[in-house]
Amino acid sequence: MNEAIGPEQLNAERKALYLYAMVRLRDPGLAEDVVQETLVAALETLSRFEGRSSLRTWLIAILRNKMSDLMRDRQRLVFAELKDADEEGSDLDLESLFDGRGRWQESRRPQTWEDPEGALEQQEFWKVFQECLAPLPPRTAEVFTLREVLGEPIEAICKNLEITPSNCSVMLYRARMRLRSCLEENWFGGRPGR
Amino acid sequence: VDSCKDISKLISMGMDRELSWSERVRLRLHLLMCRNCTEFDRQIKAIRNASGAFLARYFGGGGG
Repeated sequence: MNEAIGPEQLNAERKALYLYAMVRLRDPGLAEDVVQETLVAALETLSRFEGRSSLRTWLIAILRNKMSDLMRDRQRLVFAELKDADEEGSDLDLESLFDGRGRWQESRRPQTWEDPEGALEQQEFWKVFQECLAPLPPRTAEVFTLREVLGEPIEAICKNLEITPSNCSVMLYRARMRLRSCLEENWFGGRPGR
Repeated sequence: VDSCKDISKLISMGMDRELSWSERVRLRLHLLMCRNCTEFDRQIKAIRNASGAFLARYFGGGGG
């Protein structure tokens, strides 16, 4: 195996890992440290990488281990939330999107989003995007980031996080529903000129 | 008959795995009749597109 990893690829993976660590830890210093450790560990054990998963999936597994170690070391309030804790309790707001027969509530109907491509060019949109991502429960945010931002296949996510595919689907559904509502309210919701 | 709620779940699942033939039929049938879910479907795809661009933006700032 021992395939060399080019500096460019390494840099791209470092960024992906950093973003993921930030979503999980919300601390730039810690995120930076844990990513460094991950890369060192990865380079040391590169010969064990067999290419059965993608390089990114493999690195994410190492990063998750490093983050778990970190959390074990610092069992403080900040990290107490990193367990599965009450991420179930947040379905009420999803239920309120639909009426008793499962139709969209009049006031919550999905609107037409004008120029979603154009939004990507605007600094202000990315601020809103991050603000919409921030209130997601940590584990939900983690699954969403792995799937949608880093493009991990769902099988790899389930395996890495040790959750069932249906659990994974439910978390992604919730994340998408919430992000959708938030973006609609704060960006796309009929605000011409933005 | 599927409700919008059922269909929204199906749309989300379709982003993560290939839907079965019957799921695809149910989905298309509903979308033909339902403007709200059609918009929802577009939005979910727009979110994927934006999320994919997020990584580069996160480091690149506004310059792209």
